[in-house]
Amino acid sequence: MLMRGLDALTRAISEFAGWIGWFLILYCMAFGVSDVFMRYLLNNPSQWIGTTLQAAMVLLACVGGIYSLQHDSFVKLDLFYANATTRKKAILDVLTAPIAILFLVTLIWKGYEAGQLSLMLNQWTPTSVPIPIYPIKFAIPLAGFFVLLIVIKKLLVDLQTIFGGEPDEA
Amino acid sequence: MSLELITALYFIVLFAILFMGLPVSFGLGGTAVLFALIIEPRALLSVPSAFYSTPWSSILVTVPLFLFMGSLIRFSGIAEAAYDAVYKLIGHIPGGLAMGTVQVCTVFAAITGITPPATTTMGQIAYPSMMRYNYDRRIAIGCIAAGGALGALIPPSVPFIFYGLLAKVSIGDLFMAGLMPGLMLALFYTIYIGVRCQFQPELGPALPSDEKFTAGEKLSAVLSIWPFALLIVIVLGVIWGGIATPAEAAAFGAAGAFVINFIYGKLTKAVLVESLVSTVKLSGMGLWILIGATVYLNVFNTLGSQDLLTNLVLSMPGGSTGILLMMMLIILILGMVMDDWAIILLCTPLFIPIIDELGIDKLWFGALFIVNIQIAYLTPPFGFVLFWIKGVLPKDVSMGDVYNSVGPFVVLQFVGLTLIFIFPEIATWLPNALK
Amino acid sequence: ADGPPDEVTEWVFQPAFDQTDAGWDNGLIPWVEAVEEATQGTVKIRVEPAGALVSGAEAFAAAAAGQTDGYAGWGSVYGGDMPEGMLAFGMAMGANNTEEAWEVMWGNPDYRVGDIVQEAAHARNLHWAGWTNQGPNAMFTKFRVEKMEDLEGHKMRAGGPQAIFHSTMGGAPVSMNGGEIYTAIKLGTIEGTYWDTGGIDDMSFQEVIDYAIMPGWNPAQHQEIFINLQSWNALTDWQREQIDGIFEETYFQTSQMHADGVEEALQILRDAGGEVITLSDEEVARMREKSIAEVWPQVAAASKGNAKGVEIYKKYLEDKAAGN
Ligand code: NA
Ligand code: NA
Repeated sequence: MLMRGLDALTRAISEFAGWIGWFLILYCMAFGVSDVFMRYLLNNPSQWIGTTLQAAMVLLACVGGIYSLQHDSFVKLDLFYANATTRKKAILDVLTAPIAILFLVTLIWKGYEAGQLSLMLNQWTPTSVPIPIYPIKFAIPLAGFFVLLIVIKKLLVDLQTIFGGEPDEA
Repeated sequence: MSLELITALYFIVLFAILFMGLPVSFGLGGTAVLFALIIEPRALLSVPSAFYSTPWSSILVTVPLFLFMGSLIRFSGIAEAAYDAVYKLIGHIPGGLAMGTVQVCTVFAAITGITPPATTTMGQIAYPSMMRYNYDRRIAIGCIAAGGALGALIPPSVPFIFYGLLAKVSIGDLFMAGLMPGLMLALFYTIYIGVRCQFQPELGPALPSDEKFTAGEKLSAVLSIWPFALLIVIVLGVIWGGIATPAEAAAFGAAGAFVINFIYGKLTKAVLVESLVSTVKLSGMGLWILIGATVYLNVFNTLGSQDLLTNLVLSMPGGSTGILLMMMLIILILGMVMDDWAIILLCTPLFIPIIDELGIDKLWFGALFIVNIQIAYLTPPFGFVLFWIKGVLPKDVSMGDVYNSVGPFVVLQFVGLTLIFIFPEIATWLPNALK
Repeated sequence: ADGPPDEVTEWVFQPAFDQTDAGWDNGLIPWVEAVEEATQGTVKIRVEPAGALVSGAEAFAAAAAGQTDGYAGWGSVYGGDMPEGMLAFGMAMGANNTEEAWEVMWGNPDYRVGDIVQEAAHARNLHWAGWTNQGPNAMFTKFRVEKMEDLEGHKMRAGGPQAIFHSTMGGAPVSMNGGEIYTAIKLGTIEGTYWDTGGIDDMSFQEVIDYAIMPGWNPAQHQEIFINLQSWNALTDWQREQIDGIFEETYFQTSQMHADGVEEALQILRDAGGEVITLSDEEVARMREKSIAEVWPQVAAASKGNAKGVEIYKKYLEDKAAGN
């Protein structure tokens, strides 16, 4: 029950994150080109496009991480791992998962603190067209939380593999 | 606990975790967090900070944009057309496809300042094609990886910009200093593939003798690559014509591919979605590794480990040659765990005062440095090009296959590095001639 | 409580810049040495370059959060975190030199703009502890500029307050990273840049530009040093007095070092075939008038403290014109 709910939730979240990612990529393409046109044809360079492209990259890291992990696209050094049986892989995953969780919990915990600090400082980009930074900062722990959900879901699957008595296959 | 021991453990724990199969980004970030928690908890703040400031970079915008361009090109069919032209022209030579791959990567390198674009594009296009013609997997992966790494050496080059600013060397001169070594390596790779496949044709079989092409077929194959050529002219043109920055040029490349697909009637919803999906996936994977590598570096510095490097260098006997060799060795070893910019950021400020003191040409040192970084891209276990290539290859290709493929190319890189070491003119002649 | 404590306090600082910046050798390091000497070795400071612990742009917040014990940088960099930093950085066509800047900020009890900045710093968990005048933040161009109309329509790299100034003068400001400027000028994507004069040789700009326009948009660009408030409060009264005691002395000492650096940089430019153009007093006065009318209000609008600081600045200029 928990497993099925978690599975549906992470799937929905990652699909939504992927969709935001599409938008961000198209944004970078369209506005990267318009910036040049504004500079050359209108002699009126934009003072905000460059900054928003950088902000888009941070958001792309947020949503891209969620989408990529959900679709098993995080690269591993599977030199030994690749040849392990499903069960052995699951055991290795369970052993290393605490390190991933440690990193993600820190990202959420310290990321939330950084977001609060940003709000307290009322951080804006020091550009001539200022853009508020704190919404971007708060997106980071949020992304960390969703990535953590996916890691936990995978951990539960691994535990099921180890203790669920499923046949050991290569 | 001594600093030496802590530093050693910092590396060992990372390797152990990575070899147990934890995703690279989590391994880097998690190891850093573990050590920060034990030794200097306030360094934990660097985790969200790195997450924010690493992607906050105008040059990294080129990554998703070139990925998007590459993916669109793949669906437009023009990349296959370009590849087909290579095949028809030199497919009769054993290893011809692999040699062609190196050439296309070289052209890609002149458009981008980083390595992923050529690596991922050719990984998606050239690899399946070479598999179809029964190429040996190692030659196929190796030529893409080695060719892709050229992106950082042949101008424009982001590592050269980082180095130039920190070392106070003209970036324009550095760009020119990278050109000859880059072309030299591309030539080495081509010769190696050609010679090796001549003796072991099973590694890169020539096309069957019944497949012969007339001059007309060859010509039309070459002409069919016009959109590819146009794309390169657009991207190269806006950079070298002073119209756009590299980041904007990448946007032009993506938009150009967009338009070309439209003209070819290939801009369907499915193509667009598939391209966007793969771009989001790969960017997400890559950015998280970059962020993990930044956190790893920040904690490395917090531990105070960089002092070890300076002491190591200065303790080296053999005068300036000994010191230079030690520096190269350190860059290589760090290249096993750190990203290129992290190594440049860490080492340049430590090395440049020593280089100045010894009166060594910083332009030459820059070329040695970046060629070395090239080697770091390809050396297991931690090489950025290797991760990118693994990201795009079919799931049945393991990291071990990737590792096994790069050996000969790494050897060639070392040959190149040694030549530049012995004959600095390979790097310095062009920038000095242009002054 | 007099005299040095037995315990040695070890601090880690990370500024917004690295060793390549003139602010490293001429600003931060001399201040660090002065602090260590004044506290008789009871405060030791390790300085890490930007990017070592956090990125340059994040360094101010890192000091505020206690990830580091201190920060150095410019109000044009951390202005988004603390608008009052703009007052400490220096106004467009504001103070002409080190002495004027000191007078309006700290020296004369009639003005004391520094108190506004210190209050804002304390509200952000920081203590303002060091200051230096880096000299003119000027224009470095491929075209001649003798009056403000000469800037009209020209694409120049200008960030934050520079961009506001440049567009006010009729120019077209372009934003780009520091690392891209050299290539962009060389290729012709832009026609020049604003930069601190002592730092142009660090960026090899003499290779690509033809003119340096003095005194630029800000004749006295300043850099500040902040200490994390908890780290500051953890010191003894004696240590704090010693550190506050070197504020003025290091200000004038490091400002002189920067002034020498500015002369060197301009000589490097001349040796490379470049020309240094110094705007006439009348032209500077025209630019100042336009800046006060159109640029300063944008600084004032950023916070209450800034509004007050800008008023005091104006009063200072009026008093000076009246010959007080
Ligand atoms: Na390149
Ligand atoms: Na490596």
